This record gives sequence, C-alpha cells and structure tokens, in this order.
Amino acid sequence: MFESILIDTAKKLLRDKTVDLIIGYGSTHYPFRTEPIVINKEDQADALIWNPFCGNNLARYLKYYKNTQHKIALMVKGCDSRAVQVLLKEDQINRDRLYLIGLSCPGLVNREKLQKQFPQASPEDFQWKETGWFFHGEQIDPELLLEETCLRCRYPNPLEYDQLIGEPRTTSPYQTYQKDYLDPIDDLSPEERWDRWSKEMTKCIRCYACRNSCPLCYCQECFAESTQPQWVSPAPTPSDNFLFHLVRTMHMAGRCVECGACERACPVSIPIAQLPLKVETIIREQFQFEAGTDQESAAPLLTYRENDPGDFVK
Amino acid sequence: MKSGKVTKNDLVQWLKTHQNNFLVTEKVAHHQPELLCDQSKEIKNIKEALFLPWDKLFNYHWENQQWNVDNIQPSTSPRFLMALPCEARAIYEVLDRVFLQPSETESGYAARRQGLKMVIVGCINPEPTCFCHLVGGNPYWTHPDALFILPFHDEYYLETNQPEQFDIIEQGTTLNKSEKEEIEVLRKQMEEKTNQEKLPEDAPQGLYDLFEDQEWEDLSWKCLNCGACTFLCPTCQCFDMSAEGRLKGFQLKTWDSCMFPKFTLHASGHNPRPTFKERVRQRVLHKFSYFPLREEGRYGCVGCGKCIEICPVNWNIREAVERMVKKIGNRS
Repeated sequence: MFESILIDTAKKLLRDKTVDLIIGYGSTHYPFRTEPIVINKEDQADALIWNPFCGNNLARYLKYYKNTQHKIALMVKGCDSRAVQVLLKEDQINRDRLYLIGLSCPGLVNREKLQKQFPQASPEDFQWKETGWFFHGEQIDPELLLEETCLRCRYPNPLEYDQLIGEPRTTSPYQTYQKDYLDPIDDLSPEERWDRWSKEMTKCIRCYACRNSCPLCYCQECFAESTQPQWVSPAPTPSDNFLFHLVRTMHMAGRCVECGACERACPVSIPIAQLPLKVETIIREQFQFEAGTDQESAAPLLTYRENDPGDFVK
Repeated sequence: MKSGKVTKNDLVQWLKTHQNNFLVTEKVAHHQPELLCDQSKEIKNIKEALFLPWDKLFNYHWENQQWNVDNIQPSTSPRFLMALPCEARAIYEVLDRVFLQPSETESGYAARRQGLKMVIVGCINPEPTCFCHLVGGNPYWTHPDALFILPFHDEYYLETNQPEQFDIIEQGTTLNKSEKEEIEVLRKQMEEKTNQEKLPEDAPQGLYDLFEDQEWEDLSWKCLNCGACTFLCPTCQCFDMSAEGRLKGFQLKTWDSCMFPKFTLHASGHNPRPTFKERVRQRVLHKFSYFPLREEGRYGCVGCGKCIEICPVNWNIREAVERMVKKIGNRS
C-alpha cells in the first residue's frame, strides 16, 4: 500500500516537473537485497520500492549534484533526514533544490539475523506490512531481526520532509526495546576493549567502504589517501587501520547521524559504527546535542563555550 | 590421473597431519566446515596466500654517501591451500599468468607459489551470486596438479595427477563401474551447462568496441568507488608501490584498486580515469575484455560472485556484463 503511494508520488513529481530526478531504492535479483536507483522519467517510477532492506543512506548521493542545478527528490528515513540536515547546515546543498520523500521507518532487517532465524526462507515467506512483520502470516518480533544500529533508533520518523509515506510512528525502537548496541562494550575494562578492537582492526582491508557509504564523508581528498603529507600508511596493518578509523571517528564527532550505513557496508563485518556511536553518545550526554536534529544549532566541535564540559577527557 | 574414494574420517585424519600448514579459504570453511581442523588458518580471499595485501620488498638506508639496499627473502615454506574450483581458477588461470610470465616473474609470488599444493573442493552449494559457468568454469573444475575432492555418497571422491604430493590417494579404494559413471555424468552435465551459458566468443572484442558507449555512465551511477569488490576479488592483481621513510625505510607494495580516484593518477596531475564511469569501465573491461584478448580468451573473472555478495550497493558485475554483451548483439 505504501509502495503504491510512493510510486504515485514519484510519478506526480516527475510529471509536474517539481523535480528533475528521484533518488530511491530498487529491487535486485537477490533475496533480501535492494539497490540505490536514480530515475528521471515517469514510467521508471514503478521500479521504486520501500521495505526493511532499504539500508543505504541515499543522502550520500547528494554530493554528486552539489555543482549542478538539478532539483532532486530523495527517499529519506529518519536517520537519512538527519544526514540531509547536517548537509544543509554545512552548506553542501540548498533546501529549495530538494524534495524529501519521508519514510516512516520501522527499522531495517539484518540479513544475517534473518538467515539465522529463518534458514532456507525465501522472500515469498515474509510479509513486511505497516502493521507488523509476518512469516507465513505469523507475526515476528522485530527485535529478532532488527539491525543493532536500528534497535537503538530514537528517530523513526524523518525530521524534515515534504511528504511523508506512512503514518508517523509514536514510539521509537529505543523506547520499545530499551537496548543499546554499546552496552556490552561499556561493560568491558579498557584492556578488554583494547584487545577487542585490536582484533577487529586486523580484519580491516582498508577498502574504505565505510567512508564511501557515509553521507557525511564528503572531503574531496580524504586524509587517509593524502600522500603529501602522508598521515596513514597505505599498508593495512592493525596500527594504520586503527589510525584511519579513529581519525575518521573524530572527523565525524558531532556530525554522525547514527544511521549505521558504514557498518552495513563493511565487507568483513567489523562493527565499525560503534566507534562514532560512542562519540555521539558522549556528545548527547555532555553537550545535549544531536547531529542533524535541526538546521540551526552549531556543532559542539565548531563552537567554544566557557562552560563546555570536559569530563570525558581522560 | 589417479582417482579413488576415501572415508570422511580418513580424509580428515590426513588433513590433520598437515594442519599446521593448511590454509583454507572462507568459502570452503563456509561450504564444508567438516573439513576444518583446529589449526587450519582461514583466509578471506585466496590471493592472500600468494599476493600479500602488503609486503616489504627491500630495506634501504643512506650511509657513506650512498644508498644501501638489503633484500628481504620471501617466505617459501611448502603449504597446502584448500579452495573452491572458482578460487583455484583465479590462481591457475589468472594470477599465475600475470605474475609468473617468464619475462617478468614476480619473485615473491613465485617463491610462495612454488611450495604451494592446491586442494580443490568440488562445489556442491552454488550461491545465488555465483556465475562460474559464464566465464568457463564449473563447480567440478580441477587442475591436474591439484588434489580434487568431492563429497560422494557419505565418502569423498579424490583425483590427482600428483600422487607423490598427495599421499592420501594411496589410501583410496577404487571406484566401481557405476560409481565411475556417476562421476562422469555429473561432470558432463556441468560441462554442458558451461558450454551453453558461457559468454559469447566475441564478447571480449565486442566489449572493447563499446569502450565509448554511453551506457557506462548509467551503469556506474550507484557505485560508491570503495575498494571492497577489488580487495575481495580473487583475481584483482593491481598493486601500488611506495617508499616508507626518507633516508631509512623500506619499499612497500600494497594492493591497489581501480575504484580509487588516485589509481593511476599521473604526477602531472592528469587523471586518465577522472570519474566513476571510467573506473567502473576499467574494472569490467580489464576482466572481460583486455585480459581475455591477451590471454587466449581466458576471462580475468572466475565468477565466484564475491564482489556481488559484499557490495554495499549491490553493484552487479554479471548484470553489467550481460547488459553490455546484449548491446554487441543489437549492433550486428
């Protein structure tokens, strides 16, 4: 039902020339997978889909159009809309060139969890409805399938949009499940944390999928690829990998919108979103600031106040 | 060719005697976990065994008004490597042809390759992303130098031309006539499938002629230009060199990716592949056009599907090639 509203909306936008192109999600040949698509003709709109596998943060594609005149419609979930607001604040795109198709989002399904929970199941076995998720008509507890980053989501509704597809949600997964992805790590001692991350860093192959899938990593030249000066060696050693991820985390501080796109992009399954998520948690608690929740307030790292907290510096 | 069958227990025992020396690819570990031993080392990608993600080639330092260079000897210990047919083809059909050319042999690769014994595990669970039959492979592909093993009626079928390297074959019992026929039929079915579905003979030249086609622009749009596909590809062989340290340091060789903006960026500032379109086209054409045109029709892709499986945006090389190959047909 919501897909048909989405398609009708898209057709109208293109027919009335409200926008020149629409960036959205399309289906693939593979089960439980979607892909980003761009369309500019009315008859292509039928390809648009919306389901719990639409994991890419499409705000990432806005940088292609920074120096064009295109009017762009973009499908945005809650987290994606926050990314758009950060981009607006950082003057990366004009609001009047954007038409935001807001998606009220129940959370994304993690494919690995799904395959573990329902081995051998095919897409036909499931119904992803607004009223709930069903396996052969039987309701599934979303907690069993949700992405870890979505289980702690506080913004299931887009914060900025021109049209909303679906009813606004009254509770967030965070309120419902009271879970935080970071709890198990917070319980570890500094030594245990060091061991854990050292192990994760040996897995990193430095493909930069995390960086490139991030809507807010838009530097023309990333420090990691700079050769003059060279900050990080191109060799994917654990220490250089650490350096890359920690510097990236610091560059994201006060900007990360907690969408988890980086983690979903990682081809070697490093829980890499935990690093920026931890920093955002500190910023939320200490500075009462959340990136992308409005278009005015200045990011903590871009401002100085005499009473800025410093308790987290150890 | 020597063949036979052994019980699962005998095979596992034999693997165990070599377990400190065993590399197993992630795909085998996933498909056939019963073949893993405590000590076997799992690798993400078969090329890691021979073509290291990063490697020090030599140390250097400036002393007494001159450069002093100390070569570093590559490791040469004999090893077993267990892989699926697609992954093994990446070594036999692609990497060997790149790094073992008589005129420009890569010494580190050659040293590691020399001691390597391949165990090819017949593929019984092809995944939706697999497409080995399009590029000349099949789930039972093997090489005479390797040991081929295939789960067969609760036992394992073995086959090799090198019985002295794989002594397990001596423990094998001979297959009876009907069992032999069964193996032959399986093989034949697979070969027929390959012959039917293989990309057309003229694909490499046809794709080459489509170099300037507008379609590449559309195809490349969603690509994030990260290096996940190329770094996890068993055949991608591009590398970069850098000198780490000014007066004292080492020559570093690292994997490189044609998806990166700085790949082949010239010192002048000119970039022959300035946008996504050129980079994506390079990845496709290198594997499906330039390589086969140079290597007697052998594709530089083995159809393992890893790049499709891990791509953050589901960029699908098979779909892209099939779409472009269709264009060749439309033209003529």
